[in-house]
Amino acid sequence: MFPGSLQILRHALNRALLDGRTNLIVSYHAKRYILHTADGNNIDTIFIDRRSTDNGQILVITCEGNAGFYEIGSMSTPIEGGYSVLGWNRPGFGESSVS
Amino acid sequence: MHYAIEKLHFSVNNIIIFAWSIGGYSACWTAVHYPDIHGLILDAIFDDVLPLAQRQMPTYTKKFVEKTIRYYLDLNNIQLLKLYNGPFYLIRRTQDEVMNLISGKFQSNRANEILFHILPYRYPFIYNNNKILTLLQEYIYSNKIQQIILYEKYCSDKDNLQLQTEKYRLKNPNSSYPCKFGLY
Repeated sequence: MFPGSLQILRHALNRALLDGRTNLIVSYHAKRYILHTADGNNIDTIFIDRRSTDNGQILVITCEGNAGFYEIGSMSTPIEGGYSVLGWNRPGFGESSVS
Repeated sequence: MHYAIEKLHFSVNNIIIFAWSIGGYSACWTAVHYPDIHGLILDAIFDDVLPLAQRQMPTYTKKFVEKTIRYYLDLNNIQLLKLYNGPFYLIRRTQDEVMNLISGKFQSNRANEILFHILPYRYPFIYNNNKILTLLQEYIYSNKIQQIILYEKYCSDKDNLQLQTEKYRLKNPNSSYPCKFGLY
């Protein structure tokens, strides 16, 4: 049910994910954190802090769709809106682990 | 969420959850467990994953798919949304290839089902008879121009409606659902 977690897709998108992540970090000073979950997975997250601005007081957490990754997904919309944004990849997607 | 609150130091009421497609499930789940969030934005999400899964699979596997989904991957957003009291914003994509069960027909979009379930749940005294429900269906299935015509026909008395809702809000400052609006 989650084609995005397939190994083949991971290979195909590796470059795009890397580019997307680099862009977030370079252009928006995004900070990347790996969160350990209670069930032993690692969740890859990225955070853009805009708390110096008005809109940035609001944090938008994005939940991607199927075969969606924060690197190339719906983060761009709230980023354009000037909000603080926290993106994450579900287990098995991108650099998030699956156990 | 825990990370956002404890480590990044955002207060819950300053957090918006934005979800696309299947991410809607994690978003609804979060909303139920953190009801004080600023809001929920649901873009192209489904009401229940079962009809979509069944469409992708051959007809003779229908029963098997139903059992598998219900036991292992039961992503039922309506159940979760009913447990959440806060505001949410629903985006329906009229040209959506996945959420429209019949492609190109937004009348078959799964987001419609969310409204059909949530509106009567939240406002049981407004959507309390078949006539109103049919009207709601007609409105949801209409294009923009038809919607304006329907609106003018049934809601021309805007000032009065506004007054009524404001009065209700003053009496009931803490919104909770099901809402009693329309009871008196």
